[in-house]
Amino acid sequence: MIVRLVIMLILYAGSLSAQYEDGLKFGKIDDADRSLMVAPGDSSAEAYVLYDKLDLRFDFVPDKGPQTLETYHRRVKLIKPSSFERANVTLSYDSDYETIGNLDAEVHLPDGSTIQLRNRDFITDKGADDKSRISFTFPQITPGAIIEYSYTRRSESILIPASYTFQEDIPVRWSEYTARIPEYYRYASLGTQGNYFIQQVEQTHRNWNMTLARGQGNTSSIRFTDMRYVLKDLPPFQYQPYTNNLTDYLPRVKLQLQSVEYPNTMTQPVFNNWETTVRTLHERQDFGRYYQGKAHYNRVWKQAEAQIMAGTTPQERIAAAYYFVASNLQWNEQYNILGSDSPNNVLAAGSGNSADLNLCLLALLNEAGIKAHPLLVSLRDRGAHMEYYPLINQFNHLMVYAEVDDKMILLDVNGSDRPPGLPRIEALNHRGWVADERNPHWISVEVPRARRVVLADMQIAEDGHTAVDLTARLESYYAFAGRNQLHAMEQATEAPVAREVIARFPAASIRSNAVLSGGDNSLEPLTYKVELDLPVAVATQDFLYIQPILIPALDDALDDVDARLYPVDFPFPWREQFITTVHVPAGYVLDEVPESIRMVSEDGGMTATFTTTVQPDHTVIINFSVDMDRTFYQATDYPTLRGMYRRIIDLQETTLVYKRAK
Amino acid sequence: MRYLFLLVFIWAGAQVQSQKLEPTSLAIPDSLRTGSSVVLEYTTDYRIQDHSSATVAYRKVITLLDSDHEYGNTLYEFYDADSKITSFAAASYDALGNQIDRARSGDIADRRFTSQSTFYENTRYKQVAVACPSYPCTVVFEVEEQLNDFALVAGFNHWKPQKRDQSLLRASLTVSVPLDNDVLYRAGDLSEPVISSDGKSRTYAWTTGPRAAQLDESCAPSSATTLPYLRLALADFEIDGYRGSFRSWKEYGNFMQTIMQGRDALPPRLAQEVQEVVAGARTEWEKVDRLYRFMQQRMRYVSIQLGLGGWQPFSADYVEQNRFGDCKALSNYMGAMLASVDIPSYPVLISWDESDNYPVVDDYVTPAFNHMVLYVPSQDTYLECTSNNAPTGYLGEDKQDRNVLWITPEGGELHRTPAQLPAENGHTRTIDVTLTDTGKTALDIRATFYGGAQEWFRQLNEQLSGTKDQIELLHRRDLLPDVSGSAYSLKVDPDAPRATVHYRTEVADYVRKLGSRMFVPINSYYGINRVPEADDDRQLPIHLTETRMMVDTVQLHFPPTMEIESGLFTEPLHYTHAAGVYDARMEATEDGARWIRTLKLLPVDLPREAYAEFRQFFLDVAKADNTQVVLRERRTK
Repeated sequence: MIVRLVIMLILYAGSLSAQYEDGLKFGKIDDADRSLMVAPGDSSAEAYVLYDKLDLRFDFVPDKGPQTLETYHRRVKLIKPSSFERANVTLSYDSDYETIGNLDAEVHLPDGSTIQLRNRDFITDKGADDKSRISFTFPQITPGAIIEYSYTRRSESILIPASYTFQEDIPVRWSEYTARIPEYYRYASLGTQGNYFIQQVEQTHRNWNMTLARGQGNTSSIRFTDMRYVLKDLPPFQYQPYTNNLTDYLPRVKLQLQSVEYPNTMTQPVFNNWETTVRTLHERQDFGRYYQGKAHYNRVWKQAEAQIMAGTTPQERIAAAYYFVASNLQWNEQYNILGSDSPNNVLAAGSGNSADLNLCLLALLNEAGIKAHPLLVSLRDRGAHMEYYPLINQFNHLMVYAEVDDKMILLDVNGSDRPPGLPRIEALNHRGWVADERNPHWISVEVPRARRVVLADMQIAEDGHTAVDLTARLESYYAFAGRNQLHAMEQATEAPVAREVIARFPAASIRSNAVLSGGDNSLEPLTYKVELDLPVAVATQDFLYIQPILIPALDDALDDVDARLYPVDFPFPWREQFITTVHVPAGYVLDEVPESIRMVSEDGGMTATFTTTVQPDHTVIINFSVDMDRTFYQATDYPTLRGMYRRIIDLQETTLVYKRAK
Repeated sequence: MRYLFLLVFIWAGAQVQSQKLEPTSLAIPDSLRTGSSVVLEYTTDYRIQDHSSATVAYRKVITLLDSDHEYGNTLYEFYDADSKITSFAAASYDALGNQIDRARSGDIADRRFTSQSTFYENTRYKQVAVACPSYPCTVVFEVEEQLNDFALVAGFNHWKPQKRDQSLLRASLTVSVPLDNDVLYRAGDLSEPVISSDGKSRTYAWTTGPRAAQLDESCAPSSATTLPYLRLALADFEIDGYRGSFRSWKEYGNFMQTIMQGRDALPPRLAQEVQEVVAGARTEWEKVDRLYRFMQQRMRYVSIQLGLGGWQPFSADYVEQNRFGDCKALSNYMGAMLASVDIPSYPVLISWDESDNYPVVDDYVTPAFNHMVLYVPSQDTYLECTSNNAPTGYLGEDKQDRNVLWITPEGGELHRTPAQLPAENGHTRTIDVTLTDTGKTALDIRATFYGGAQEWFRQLNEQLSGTKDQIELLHRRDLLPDVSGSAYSLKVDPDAPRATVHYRTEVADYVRKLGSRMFVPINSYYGINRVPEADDDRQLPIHLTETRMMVDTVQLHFPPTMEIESGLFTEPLHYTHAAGVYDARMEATEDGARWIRTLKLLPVDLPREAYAEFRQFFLDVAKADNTQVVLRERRTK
């Protein structure tokens, strides 16, 4: 994968010019850039980043302590009208601990003129997320205009400086990250390496003015680490379907404060190891104390105790606690690893964030004698986990890890339609950290294979009219989706399974439908029966053509690209099985029997089986199944996966041909 | 039934006793439990103080029956510099009337409103949600607002007490207005108001309810035409010192004319450039065309809604300096350029996509518009000044066939934009499908899109300039069969609403093989599959606005070793209905078969009883359009 990116970068770098080794002066534009009307190597690009830089510095403010100063400087060539939206700029910051200053903005026009924005052009307000915003738009935008702006963001938090991603959705000529870090602050580098044009890290000595306590000023020459990373002539990145954690595949600088060591003081670790981290977390009220301090959850326990302790096995008690929380608390659609309030208060309010619900469950489980711990994860598309460094900010969701007879059970409560053991799909990002105070550790966040079995009994009439009795047994995420559909449905056509049949055969009409089991109990598979009249058979002359597979197992989305740049990442493994029995009118015989076949992908991760059995009365039984056991495919595996997809789609569209016997 | 009466009696009694009783949902009759929520009470008191100020207060008590209420537990209210929310309260109660939650001041968010299409807007909103952990859950919302300069935007211009999927027990609206003024109204499905006077002001009172829920149904008209709805306007108003009136379209147009006055002076340099642009033009149309192109290349649309309720345009000078503007500013700018070469034009107020609004009618004056374009009377043409790529005179599908207000020097005039014609909106497409000996199928697709159908392609051409990106998006939208074609072009006609796509590729999965047979879908990628959902108990009328003419020709070529076993129909297919006309025919050719289909779609308004036939038409179309031929190895050599 990395090799592919490197090759692309090398290929892209053609006869590109402009070097900024010595920096770039704001507002100084050369004529060649003014007249440039196409991005070198990419004639289709709507815009071209000529220069983009983030510079990280530090300052020490008396009574406030260390602060970061992040200076951005960006210059972009707008080539086509579709890029003009890029001339509307909004800078967002948290005014509780951040400010933005030194804002300069200019637009350089192809006719040689330059317009500088004035103070009145910058509009300050608050956005929907309650963060402060500065908005401005550039005047006189025309194809070939160059917008340029710079500003400095000052932050009172030096814990996590802004990360910097070198590659963008448009080509980039020069992309640079610099930092000058005083020796007192030790940062861990968590980024992704790039094929750097410049990569310099050196030690320098400079003056540093610091006041540790009132009246104790101290200016001295200390050591700094100067970093400079430059990538140039970068092609745009592309989004591809089934990509997870895209930013992990782009070159990026990401720093996290590891420790602080001032003169004549002991090193103050910001994080040391996972053991320390888990202790720190448990000392927090909004984490450990909420689920361990009985005063915080006694009212919840009082209300739930009888229901939970009525269970005679650990599994029954887990289920009882899970459904108690599911039916009494609503998720407010916010993810978090920290509780917003105590379980008692959350129960009274009736809703909370993802941590609130799961901390409440955790408190109940522990009180019921079940061994359970918080399980922290980074949600899908928020980045893969970093297990080496104990970084809490990589997590954004809290679940529950429980153990019964040395077997783990993953719990992630949000509504009763999804059973214990089945986290929400967004949480299936492969790994998770168990915040066990005595033994914090990483686990694979895996779920059993989701299954769907569809039994169809087809009675074909001579005119092609087909009566179908269909019974579906849905497990895991299929059952969860089915229950959601049942609750939302207003008409029979929106019923589970039936809706997919109707999507394929719009003329279908439903004779009856019923839940056989599991409609209100997510511990059971959902079984659903529907009787339909369908145009699955076409009668022409002496032939009957019949489509026996009513619901496609696969769509064709994997065909969307010719070549993959990033891995294909499915959230969970699954199995789909279709067993169809076809009864035809007397006098018809099967003219061609579809070949029985079993296909296994080269890696063994995907299997498809198609068998045809012909009974003496000419009834045909089709058994078609697809198993996807592997959820992660490297980009290089894409051709294999795509080939299997195509062959399976071919199988699911098989037609049976019957001929009238003579 | 007796039980039902008893419950209603208890409910009514509870309400009469005291408003301080906590709301309980126990007494809601079964007949009103058919949607996802019930409006138990919605009282609104609207007091107009003078020509430019008013207070409005409302109390809503709504029982949410299940979790499908779509933010029904959230109270939000918009305001701006001309309005002030003086009271904002929300609480929730369980079925027995016990309070679950009450919004505290710290819970209330106060934010600037920024819509997706607006860069900066002077509108803010307050918002708060109250907890509803189980259902039924009753929410009580109480809001009071002080309005100034309110007649146009921040004002109280419509009342809609009930939504779809929601029942209504009782609602009332009271409007009081000083005797030297009046309230103009247009009601839908409401009784006439009770009118009274105390010598100083006149009061109008409307009440409605109970009403059972009206469920959402496909192909239905907007809820404003099937549910109680009241549109209001203050007859004479004043905003920011400008006096205006809604007593006639002419007077309302006069007001708009007044607030736009003096904003059309061109800076000298621009005035000179305009003269240079039109120099040598032989006709007035050519001048209009050149100036429209000039503006398209020079300007970009940025929506900044500031000042005078967002209705006064930035001056032509400002727009020229910045080279951006919103619909009003750009229309004003274009009008100013035309005026400088002695071509009169009128700003036009229009509703872009009016689906949620009460349609603008001749005999009720309303400011229910959300967009401005320009009309050039000498050419009888409209100019959409926010577009950087529309052909001159192309208004756009979402703005046709509706009443609009011309702002002429003599005042407002209501006119109707041209209706769509099927022949001008649709496509012609020819697909050559060639089955090869390699098992692959060669496809050559040539399509030309017209009118409304070409708009998306025109945007695509402008917004996504990379060929690869275009192909990928077209494939994702099922407009191209794959992404690996050997030839591709998208050409957009700069002078006419027309876009042409050509694509050539080879696909592996077009044909399904089974032994000696091949199953060949005739129109695999572009079959018409739009079938309205089945509904045996249709309640709402049918309303469709789309107009299209779709002509597809498929030329099937297959090797001489194959022959057609079935699927070749010799009798043309013909289906007709008020919503459209479908024709398809197929014929054998020297090396295969040719299939030609035309589908004309027409706007319709039909009663609910016609739904089964309406749906059947589309079922027939879908079935006919998804035909396939079966080939087998040739038996006669």
